[in-house]
Amino acid sequence: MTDELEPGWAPLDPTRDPERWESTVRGIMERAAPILAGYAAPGPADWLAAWVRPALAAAAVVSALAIGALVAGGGGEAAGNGASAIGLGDALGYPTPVTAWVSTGQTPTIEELLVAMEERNR
Amino acid sequence: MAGSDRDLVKEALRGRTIAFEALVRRHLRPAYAVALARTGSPHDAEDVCQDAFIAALERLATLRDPDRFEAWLLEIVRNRSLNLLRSRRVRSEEPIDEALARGGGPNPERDAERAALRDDLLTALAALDETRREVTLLHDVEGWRHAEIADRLGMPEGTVRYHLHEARKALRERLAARYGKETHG
Repeated sequence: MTDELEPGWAPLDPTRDPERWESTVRGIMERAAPILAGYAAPGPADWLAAWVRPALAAAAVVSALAIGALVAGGGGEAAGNGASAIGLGDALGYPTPVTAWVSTGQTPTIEELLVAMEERNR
Repeated sequence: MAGSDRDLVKEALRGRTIAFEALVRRHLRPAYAVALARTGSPHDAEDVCQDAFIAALERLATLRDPDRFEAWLLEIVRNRSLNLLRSRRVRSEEPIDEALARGGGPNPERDAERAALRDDLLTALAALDETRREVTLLHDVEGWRHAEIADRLGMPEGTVRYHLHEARKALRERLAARYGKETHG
């Protein structure tokens, strides 16, 4: 396209003077250096991100261990403590004497049966 | 360093000097053309480019679409050029003797001729409006295609062609008197 115009555009080509052109590039890069250094240095958000991830992972591990210990420890305690143990008869809502008869294999008298039925109907 | 503008922007935001320098080398010429079109002075155009690249770097994290880095940069160049002209109010053209003193090369005659040619071109360009100067420099000096200019300047391709046609006609008329050769394009 330069042949369409005399004297041509070459005099306006900034790279015709390579030294000056490089000097312009260097000038920009010198002024850019501190800004780029700032981008390279980790900021508060980077520190936080670096800290949060392992902290969350550690918290998850601790939680998992704690829940495991609670489940295992709690189950053992319940088994060893008769006061907190709940029998099948109690869970099904049978009157206490009936549960006792079943567990001991004792045959109740008619009178005991009537008393137990009265208690259940209350 | 090769790579898309998107990649280079990403790397520059991580503080990689080489990535930002690649962006500078890739886009300095069009930035210079736009600055020259707006300020009319090579010296001012260089200053504007320096300021624009630094401003772009400072605001790089706010660039929504890194693929549009060039269009974004050229907008900064335009604004900086406008601010410079506003602050000066009167455009100060670099004197020819200053350019010669700086050149100081082994061939002062050639340098003088070059400076005179440049001065004639700048004077002829100054008669155009800003848009036509920008379109002309991006097309004829930077070698951008009509579609590229249309994309970067946000105007239809036909409008780019029209501006270019009118600009060339005006430039030929102005320069023909001095160089005695009117070409038809």
